[in-house]
Amino acid sequence: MFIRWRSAACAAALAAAFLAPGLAQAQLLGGLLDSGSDPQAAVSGQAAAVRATALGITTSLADSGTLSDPSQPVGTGQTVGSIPGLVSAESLHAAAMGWTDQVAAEASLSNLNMTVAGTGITADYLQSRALAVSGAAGSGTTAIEGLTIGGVAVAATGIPNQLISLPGLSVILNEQTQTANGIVVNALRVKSLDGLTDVAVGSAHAGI
Amino acid sequence: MKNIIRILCALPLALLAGQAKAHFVPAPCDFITGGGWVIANSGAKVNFGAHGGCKNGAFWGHVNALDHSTNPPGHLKSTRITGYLMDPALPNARDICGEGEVSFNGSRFDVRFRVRMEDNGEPGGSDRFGVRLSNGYVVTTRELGPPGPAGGGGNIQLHKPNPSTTGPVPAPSEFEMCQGLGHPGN
Repeated sequence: MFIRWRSAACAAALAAAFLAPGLAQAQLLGGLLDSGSDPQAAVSGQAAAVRATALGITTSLADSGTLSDPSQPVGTGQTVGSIPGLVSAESLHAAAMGWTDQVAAEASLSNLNMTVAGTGITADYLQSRALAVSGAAGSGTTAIEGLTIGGVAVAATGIPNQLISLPGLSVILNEQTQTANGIVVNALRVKSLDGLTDVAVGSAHAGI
Repeated sequence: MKNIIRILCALPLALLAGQAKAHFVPAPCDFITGGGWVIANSGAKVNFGAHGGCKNGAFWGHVNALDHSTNPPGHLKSTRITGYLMDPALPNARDICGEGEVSFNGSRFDVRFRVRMEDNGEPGGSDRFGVRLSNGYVVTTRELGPPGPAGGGGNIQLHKPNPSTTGPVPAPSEFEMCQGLGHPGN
């Protein structure tokens, strides 16, 4: 009897050993896999930690390159990056990835130091995310932490396209622009009013 | 007979215990992205930006991190991603293993690294990051926390799989992916 009980317990343990991985995997599958997709949808996406135009010359830092195939995610990173006289930052990162029914792009950086039209701008951390889902409007989010403009702390409201006007300068936080097939999200967009300088920090585009 | 039964019963239980500790390539594979900073035990910022995952039968990604404990800060830049794995006990976390280059006090040297990134929802304060290098450097996995002098900041996102997020077949072992480099802590 004792042995029979042990045998039953043993059988239960063996069953648990073989079933547990399957259960865990099924939970993951249920939680992560999307339902329905559009295999015909064309995708586009790109992210850059910084994209700056000064005196007609455009320079990017940590630019992921263009996503054109959902099976070929793109991404890059830099420990430090700078455009002399304009901007420097650390831990720059950019990536864009696609699925058959959606595209996501993300750019981030830390310790931003920037001077545009004589105004210093710093931030602890900036991040943008863009998401385009087939059949729906694009959506975006940003994280803006420790932002100062001209030495004054500025709080981001989280509302898209928060405009801050300064002498000779326009600053937009969480800039979101809907496009024909998706959205462009810039965590921070700084333009000099003379038109000579235009800097997008944490720039992500997703389209489908 | 009793001894044989004892062994047979103990075996699956031992396997289960081992499984709880094993780290493996997620199936289906996926990818994780994020950036931010944590506060090291020294009180200095450790900034990071990273993405990693599986891509068409291989591992893919990039990792960079800066530790401000020194001036100038120490830099880690990945040069090759050799593994992407998960711990079943932490379904929101992924480890990225690879080879990289460290710049520190004017010198450069090669290391192996293992970073842990964990996505615990939005806006990101509960997300976690840690890093371990083969030279003994480690920042144990910790919350990004609320932005401010005492906390870090940033955001990590675990993305769902797609048809291209396939890893190598057969999936390499944790040891093969990370060359024995342990995770930076739970």
